Amino acid sequence: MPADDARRVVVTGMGVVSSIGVGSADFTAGLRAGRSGAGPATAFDATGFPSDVVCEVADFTPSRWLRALDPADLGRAAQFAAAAARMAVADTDLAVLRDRRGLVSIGTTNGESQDVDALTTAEVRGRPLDPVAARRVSSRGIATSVATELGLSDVDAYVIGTACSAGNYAIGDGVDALRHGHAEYAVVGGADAISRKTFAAFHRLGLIAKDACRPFDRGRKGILTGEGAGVLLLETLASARARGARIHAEVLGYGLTCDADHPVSPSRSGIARCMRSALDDAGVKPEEVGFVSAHGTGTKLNDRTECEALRDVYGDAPPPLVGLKSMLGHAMGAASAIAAIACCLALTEGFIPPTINHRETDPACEVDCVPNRARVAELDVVQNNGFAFGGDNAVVLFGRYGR
Amino acid sequence: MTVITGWSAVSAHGRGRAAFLAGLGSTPADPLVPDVPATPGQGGVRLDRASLLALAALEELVADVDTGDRAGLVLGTTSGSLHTEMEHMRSSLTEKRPHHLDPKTIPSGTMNCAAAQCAMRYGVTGPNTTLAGGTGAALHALGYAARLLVADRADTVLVGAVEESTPSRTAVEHAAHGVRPLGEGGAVVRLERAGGPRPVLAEVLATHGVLGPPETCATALLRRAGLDRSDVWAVLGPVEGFPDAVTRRLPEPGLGDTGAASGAFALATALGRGEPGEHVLVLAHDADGTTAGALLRLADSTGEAQ
Repeated sequence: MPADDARRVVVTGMGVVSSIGVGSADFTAGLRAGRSGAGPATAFDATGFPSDVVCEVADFTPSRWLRALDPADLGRAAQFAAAAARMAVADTDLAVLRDRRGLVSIGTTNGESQDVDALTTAEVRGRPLDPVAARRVSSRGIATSVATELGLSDVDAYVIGTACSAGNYAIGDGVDALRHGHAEYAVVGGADAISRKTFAAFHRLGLIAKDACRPFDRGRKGILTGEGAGVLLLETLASARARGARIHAEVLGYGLTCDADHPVSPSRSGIARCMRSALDDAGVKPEEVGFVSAHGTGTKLNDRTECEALRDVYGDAPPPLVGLKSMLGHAMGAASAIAAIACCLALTEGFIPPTINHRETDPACEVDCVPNRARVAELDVVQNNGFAFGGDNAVVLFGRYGR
Repeated sequence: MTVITGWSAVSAHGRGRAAFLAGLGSTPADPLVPDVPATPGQGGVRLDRASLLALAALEELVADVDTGDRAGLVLGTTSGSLHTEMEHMRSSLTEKRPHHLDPKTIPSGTMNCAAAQCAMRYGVTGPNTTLAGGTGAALHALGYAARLLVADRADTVLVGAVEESTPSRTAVEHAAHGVRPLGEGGAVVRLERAGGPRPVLAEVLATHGVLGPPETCATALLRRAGLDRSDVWAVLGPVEGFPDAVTRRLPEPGLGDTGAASGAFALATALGRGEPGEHVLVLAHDADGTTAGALLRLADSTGEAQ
């Protein structure tokens, strides 16, 4: 066994719940076809809002996936996370994991936001607060639900609450835990649910598009709020080889930086520093990167800043920069975890997913965003960007296994 | 090996280390932290109480070494400022238009606001992480921060947890787990690799989390540190089975249920009142079945905490 097999981290399972597809096969088809998850909100009454378009996971039936937990006991974010975790271990003998030391690290922006909305509604209307919903307000419950669903007890189970880059944070946490022998496997990802107050907050900031999310487009108007979960099973290459696990991709490395600059606006230098840090950690040269999965929210400021930072790191001929949120909406803490799975699928299936809803690239962005149609491509390395309010940046690099 | 080289706390006993240690074991008349400065947030935002408490907790601790790209910050929480989140929903339900909530409070509606504001205030531009982990949040955060150091992602990490006491949290906590006194505050320690120039207050021998009882977590911590039960001088947390050690030598903070801050207060208690050279076991157990813990060895000579 090569010595570094114990430090190389690979993806051996993936589970995804998204507005464009549930499960890897459906999600891959959605990415290839450039599906849109947008539609009128059903999770809350959108009467009186300036718009009603969101990206919900329609017709989600958690009982199809959950075996140990009763969906009625869970909030929607935990349902997503536990279902995605089930999918991620579908090929794995759980008895193997249960005998090992593990990490369950799940990112979120808003935790069980629908429970908080419902509790507040009850309070405003003078009704008693539901104790079950109240117990779910502690956000760690999302990670505990994942562990319980999979029957894992010898695990550190917690939630990373670093807003919209939280999924990438959790993946990075898993990478370090495995590289340094703190865990023998890691179940990592992100989950969030559509919520009225999130919709209200982004509307108040003027950051919501009325019809469609158009990253890097001259006429882009903002985000659509979304939801879902992405969960990955990570282990060392040595572990995956020893148990004959299917290897989807390698996690080459990651970077974390904090802008420490502004509560909601991104910083070009903070983002560029994060990309460089991730490339260094991965031991990857910029010219090896086949495309970058953008944070790409579709707001004026984010997209321009992200493109400027990309150019700072990659020079004047950067790789394609794809805005998956054009299809998925902004799934908040789940966004970068779902995008991470898209990156792995792009590596294994040989295509670059498109930026849909695209009409005319903004000259201030000036990137190849792979407009509207997926592109066939042999890829070796893919970069996944995640940025957050508060200036919390996390960038992860994935490599094709055997590249 | 990671070591703690500083700490601070804000609690109903007052702001800073001295007030915390003086008040340990007593129950303050007012369960709220006194005189929390209503500092305006960076970028013109109106800060939530959890963020103000985090800023106040760092006040006494932050030094030059805690700033810049090689400095990190990891803050534990239950779910950020629950009060702000509920205020946003209240506004959505009661204002003329459903999105007419106070824009100055929007950054406080996400869990990472406190950590981000601390980073902005002090220029902490390395890894900035918010970790939701119930009453064990600070202990999980300690393990996470130690990993950042081992992975060489930072040279120092400020790590701790805060919790706010607000009418919203009280209503939800009482509905969830029954009526009881609730408190608030926060504590933060500086974690770094051993061998630096600053005097060591304690070594972090092990951190550990399980979905299981405190006993399982305690056993694992001892095994990882290579210690016997009889080596443990004091235990902070809900575990029996340490008959040889004189357990619970250390007073409870006397602050009510301080949520995510409780694990941080336990660390602060160990650092402030532990005997030189002794081992202290800190455990936090939640109703969801999780336990988080840390095993510390206090330094042989106690320097003045800086």
